[in-house]
Amino acid sequence: MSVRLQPGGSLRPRRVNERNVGYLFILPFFVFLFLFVLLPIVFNIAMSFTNYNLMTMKAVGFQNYLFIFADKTFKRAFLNTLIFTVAVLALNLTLGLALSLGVNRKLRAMKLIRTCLFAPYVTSMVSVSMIWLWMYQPMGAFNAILGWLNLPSLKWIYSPDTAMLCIIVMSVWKTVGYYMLIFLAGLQGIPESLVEAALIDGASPWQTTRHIRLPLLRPVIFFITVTGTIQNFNAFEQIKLMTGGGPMHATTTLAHQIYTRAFEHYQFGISAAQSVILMLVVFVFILLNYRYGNQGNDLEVG
Amino acid sequence: MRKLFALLLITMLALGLVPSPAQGAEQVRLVMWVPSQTDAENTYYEEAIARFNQQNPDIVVDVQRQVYGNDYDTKLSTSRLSGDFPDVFVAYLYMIATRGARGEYYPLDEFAQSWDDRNDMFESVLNSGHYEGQLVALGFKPTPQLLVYRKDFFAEAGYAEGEVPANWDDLKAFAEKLTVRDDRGNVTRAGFDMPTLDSGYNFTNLICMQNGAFYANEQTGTPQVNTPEMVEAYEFMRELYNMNISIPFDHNKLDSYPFLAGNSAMSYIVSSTVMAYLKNNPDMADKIGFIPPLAQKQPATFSALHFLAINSGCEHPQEAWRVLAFLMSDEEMYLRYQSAGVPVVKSSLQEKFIADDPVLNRAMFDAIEVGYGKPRLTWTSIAEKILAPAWESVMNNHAGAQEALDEAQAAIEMEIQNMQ
Repeated sequence: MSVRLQPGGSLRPRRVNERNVGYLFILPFFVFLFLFVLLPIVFNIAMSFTNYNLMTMKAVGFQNYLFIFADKTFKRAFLNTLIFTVAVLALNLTLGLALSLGVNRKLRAMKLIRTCLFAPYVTSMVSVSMIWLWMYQPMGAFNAILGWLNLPSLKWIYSPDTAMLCIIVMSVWKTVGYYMLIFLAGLQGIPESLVEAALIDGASPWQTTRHIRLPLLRPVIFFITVTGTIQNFNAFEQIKLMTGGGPMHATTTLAHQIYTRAFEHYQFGISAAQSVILMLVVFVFILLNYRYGNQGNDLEVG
Repeated sequence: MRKLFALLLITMLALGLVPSPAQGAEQVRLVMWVPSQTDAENTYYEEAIARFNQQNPDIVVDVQRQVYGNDYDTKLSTSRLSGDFPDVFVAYLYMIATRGARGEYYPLDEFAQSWDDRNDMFESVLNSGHYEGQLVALGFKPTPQLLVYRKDFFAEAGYAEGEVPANWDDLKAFAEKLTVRDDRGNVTRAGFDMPTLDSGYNFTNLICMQNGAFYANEQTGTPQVNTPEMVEAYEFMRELYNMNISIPFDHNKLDSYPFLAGNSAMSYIVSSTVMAYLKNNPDMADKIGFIPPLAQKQPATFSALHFLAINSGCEHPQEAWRVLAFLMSDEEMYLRYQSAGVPVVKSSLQEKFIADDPVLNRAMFDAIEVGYGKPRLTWTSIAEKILAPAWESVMNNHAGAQEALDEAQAAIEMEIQNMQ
């Protein structure tokens, strides 16, 4: 309730509906959401039932969806995306947690170590991809290391057997610092008294981690699993820059296929249908996460 | 009253309602997109358009450099979506069909009828710019793949000067003899560059062409991927690759070419890159030689061709045509060669061009003469996206040539059916 001082000095309550003011404040967000998120999604769904090619558009019913389900490359891209997402997420969660436990202590060099670990995350994906591309070259750093160890050279990104692994390793290196930081924030939010009490009761450091820190980090794990799933399902830049989806489609992903169909083949209808499928898959994963991952807990810990 | 009039005039000028004296009444503005591969090429276009603007005060052309390669096509598509497609633009050979089918080109027949230079153009180059019987673009920049070799590495391997491979059997023998391996079997100097990734499908395509195998029939518009000639070509490449004579690289990434890093004896490289390499490394001029196009069933190589075209939605096609005619004039064509290394495409300039650099330019002409481009079909880029992984699966021994090409044929047919 606001008041306004009258010229005569008297106070008169102003009739302002607080609820409407609140709506007014959040209106810009919803306008943005409608114009740049919801409306494009609706357009995309509508486009997925057409054969739009930049110049002409004709309704084709479910033809694009039927085509996609018969397309071997799309199936391969779907499988690759799942492998990439699960591998990168699992490695990031494990390594991110391990690193956060390692850097969650008060030492002089700790700030520098944390900064170094986080630095790849704020570096552009293009730069990182190019640097790793050079290291993966036949005459690059990794084969030089193998040479010192007297081991035969590998083809790295040029082999269908190792190309996806190369992309996964690079992606984990690039993003693990972010996971470490979020875990670290969660760890520092856990009351020290809980850990101290457990230690007094004779718990080992592993037991305090297993039975106190990990359960209390559950909302953090839920948060980064959801955001990580979305991020990894949309992996594109490193694929496009490093392998172009090859060799033998070993590294092509859904996002890469969506791009290829739209901007290399001008098949915007098929591309839109693939986008709809990607959206639904991500949606299902997030629902599963909500159902089994969080169970009503919020991010507040401690 | 005077003050009021002055205020009104200033307001109108500010709103652009009154033309300023400097602007001129009928000046036409055109936007031109050029994907320049080198800085020299970009400088040429900037200077050429400055000359054009000076000679044609009624037209102002704004030339804009664009990214080179496949991403340029993507940029054209996004500009189509955003509604700022350029008036004059460079098109690649395969775009003649893909964009022609969607009516993106302004027909040039009417202009070309009264164009004096028409009969001087190489017939094959002029014909390549036709889509469904209409002239839609003017070919101006052929870029053939040249088979280059290192003379010093050849001499080191015991070959006499000028002794080079002429066919596939020779290529195998030369490649094996020229390959240098370390004690662990790793190739430290390739005998012949065989790309491990070839998403552009240029290298694989040119080897197939040498066996008389073309993956599409342009006349009927049908794929012919699993023919005996194609299978034979894929089998030959697999044998050659499995001889361990190459260092893995991506044919689409110039900085990964072993030959350009001095780690290979023979390589197929696009002519414009060879010219740029020699310009930047003048000390290599004596060490680099050119092998005449290899012949298995026929001498052949892949030769790309770039075109100048006008957007079908251009509001000033007459003026846009004047830009094209200017850039295709004898003076500009030869100047383009001198400053940016772009080969000429007119009969009257041929002798002068070869005389200027008898070794390199002769090699370029030989390659252009037996060069084939990509088929002008709407599904060309889709077919190549299927054929490249097919080759990769053969190369990695994941499938036999016949099996991989049968699958590719079926996949391309499915795509074509879906497009109809």
